[in-house]
Amino acid sequence: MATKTASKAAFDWAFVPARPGWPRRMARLARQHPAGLFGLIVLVLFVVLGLFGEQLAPYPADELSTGTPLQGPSLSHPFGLNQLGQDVFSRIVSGARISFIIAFWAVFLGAGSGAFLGILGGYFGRWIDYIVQRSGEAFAAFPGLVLFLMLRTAFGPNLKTIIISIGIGALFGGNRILRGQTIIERNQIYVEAARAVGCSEWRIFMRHVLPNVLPLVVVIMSGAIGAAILAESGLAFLGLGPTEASWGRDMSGTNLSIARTGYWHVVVFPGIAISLVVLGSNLLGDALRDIWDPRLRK
Amino acid sequence: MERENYWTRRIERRRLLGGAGTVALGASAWALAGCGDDSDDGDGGAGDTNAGVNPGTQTAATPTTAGEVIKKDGTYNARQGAILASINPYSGLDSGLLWGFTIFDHLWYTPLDTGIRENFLASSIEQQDPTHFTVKLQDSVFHDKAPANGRAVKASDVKASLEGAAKQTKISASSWWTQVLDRIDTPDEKTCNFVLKKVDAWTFSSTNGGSPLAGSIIPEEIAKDPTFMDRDLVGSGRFQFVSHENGANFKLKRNETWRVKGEPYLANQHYKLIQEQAAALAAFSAKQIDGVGLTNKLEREQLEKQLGKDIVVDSVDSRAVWLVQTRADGAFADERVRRAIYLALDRKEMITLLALGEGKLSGAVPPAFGEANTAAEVEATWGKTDVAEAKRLLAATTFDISKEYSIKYIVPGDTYQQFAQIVKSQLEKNLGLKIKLIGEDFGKWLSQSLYGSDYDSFITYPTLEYDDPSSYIGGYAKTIGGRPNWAALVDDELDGLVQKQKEILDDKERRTAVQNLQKRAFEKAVPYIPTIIRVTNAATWSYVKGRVVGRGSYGLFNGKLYVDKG
Repeated sequence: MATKTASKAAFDWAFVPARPGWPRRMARLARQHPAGLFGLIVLVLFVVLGLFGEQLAPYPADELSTGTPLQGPSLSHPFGLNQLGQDVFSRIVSGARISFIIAFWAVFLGAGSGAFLGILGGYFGRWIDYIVQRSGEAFAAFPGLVLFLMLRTAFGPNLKTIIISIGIGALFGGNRILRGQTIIERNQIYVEAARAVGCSEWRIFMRHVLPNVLPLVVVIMSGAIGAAILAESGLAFLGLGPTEASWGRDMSGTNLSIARTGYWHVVVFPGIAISLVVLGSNLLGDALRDIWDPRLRK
Repeated sequence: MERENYWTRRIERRRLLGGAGTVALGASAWALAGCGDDSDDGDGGAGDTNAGVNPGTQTAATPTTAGEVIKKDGTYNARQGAILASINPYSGLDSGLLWGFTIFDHLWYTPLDTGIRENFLASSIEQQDPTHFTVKLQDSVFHDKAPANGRAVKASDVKASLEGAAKQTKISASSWWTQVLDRIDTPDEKTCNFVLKKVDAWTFSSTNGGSPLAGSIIPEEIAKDPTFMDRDLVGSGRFQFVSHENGANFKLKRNETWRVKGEPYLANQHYKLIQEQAAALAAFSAKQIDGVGLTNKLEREQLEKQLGKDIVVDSVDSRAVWLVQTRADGAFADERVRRAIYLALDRKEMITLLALGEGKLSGAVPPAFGEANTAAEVEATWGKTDVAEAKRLLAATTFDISKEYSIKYIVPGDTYQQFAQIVKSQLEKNLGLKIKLIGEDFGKWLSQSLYGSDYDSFITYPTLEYDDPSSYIGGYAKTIGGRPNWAALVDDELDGLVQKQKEILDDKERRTAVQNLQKRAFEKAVPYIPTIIRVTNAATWSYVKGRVVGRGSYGLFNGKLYVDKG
């Protein structure tokens, strides 16, 4: 007992700087990565609009004749009105829901599954890796739009078809990067050490390798959000997008021909919304990569 | 709507519109065709981008005046909206119409404005009785190309062409070709005796016997083996086919042996593939093309502001009627329910929103025809909005407003969706209905929803643009092209009236019968609810002279068009 007391007294903890609390750490990260903070704010806003946009919008997205059709931005209609007299601001706020649903599910199902397969293939190698990589090559040779049109023919023009086709497109997107990173991790000394003490391969994979490549997964997925939104917008631009109010849809078709005649507001604001979210997701991805990659730490 | 292949034609038509839509001579009009690119609305209306200059009710804006020096040998440059899948006129409406107006000749044609048949290749037409008539042919020769090699057009060519066309499925000729035309006898090289299976007062209309598609005169050798036309085209029309680049950038040259001496004035027609509307407008402004269809009135105003007096803009009424089709059975069997829907629709709002204020109320037959009910009649009948009465009528029935109903419409196509959206909003707001919008790919929409009556409450679409009014009232018959009525309308009286007007050979009497039929259909609250028509806009450089507008497709058979660039 006496020894214990003596040893406690011998070390003065006051000299060890206390670890700052998470608010301070977050503030420091925000100062170090202002672009990432901007991206985070945009994405948080996007998620909030995606979840509660319809409730927050001053008018229902599809309500007609809320004012004079094609009226420009004003106090009552900050983003103006479209041809049907629908409030553009409300459509952007409500339209975030469709973009959010598509982006979330496409990234979750597509990029998420793809990431898992890439890591799995990278770690276990052999036939698993072979199947995953050859499948990726096969998909790369298949035009995404053709795949979408096939699915559309089979399942009809609905949201699920769009999500599945964008998801499949995202399946093998970051797959190879993660595979490469996993191969690097697999050959690290800590893996050998784990193996030496008798850990099972599955345990090593789940407990040691996966957590080390997970930051990269987050980075890839954040980038995939932007890609998914762009893909949805592209489909909508071709008239193949969702039938509900969406940013891509509002930038295409009749709105586009109307915008050419000077009513810029009908397409510019949905365009800004898309650009912001894509930019935000990419900036956030970059910042996360900088934060988690020790080689890039300042 | 009485056409057997009504909507099959529409499929092909959409290719023309969205696609091949060529600016035939830029001079007059697409009559059977509307055109549509950006808006895909298919009514040849505000969404048209491929039409050169559309048909209408106006007189020619740049007529050839007496004493004016006609400058022959010019080249007219037209826009081609999309690539043709095949140049064979039997492969689709797009190629069929394009060549029908240029490369092939026809026996007769019935212009929209007069409704009176005019002879083309036919030197005379004598009708012995309602089911027999004799056509005598003028002297004419085919283009100097194999296999016809400039030989004379004979009665056997007419027989082979028309009887052959009646068997074609892809060009989707009207039911007249299969259900009315029996045969053509050719007692000599200049005489064709037409035998009909039954009386049809619309025999000479341009959607039946006067069709620019099925009525094209093709050399007998080719008519018996139409696959020849996958490779080359030989006719006896004003222009001769010269070349194409995989279904695009067509070049035609004047037929020097055309049966009308001194015509056509133009030496060449060149079609330039320009798919994007913005690019087409730029090409027009740069005078790379001589005419362009305009998407809406805003484009028209902008172009007028930019180019002013150097261009001529034609704004004419479309003949595509935007329809709200409900059902005559199930929840909608009660006439009061359908009447409530009639009264709950605010057509003036539709004109404001869908047509940017440029449109008109329409009865079953659009206002362009003499058979249409007058504007005042339409205003008081089909065009009337009375929300209070609509609510009262609906409340008096057992109609379940807590149930969710649906509107099926065509995708892609922004304007189709806009129209469906407007109908949905109005019915929800004025009647308290709950409505779900269901966009369907055109093939499914056509074959299952429309033809197969596979819809539970509403289906919305614009009709085709026809040169004759009979096509618009065929939906009131018990069967449409051999299929049960699409809206499950089974009404002996209306069916009888539809059949009867076909047998009235006197034009005035028939016109009255068609007008009365529409009024009776309104009284019975038929499930085909016409709403509005839009206005089509198209621009042409003023150096394009001799244009004919206001005569439907007839203007496209114009050999007096010329280009005078000074």
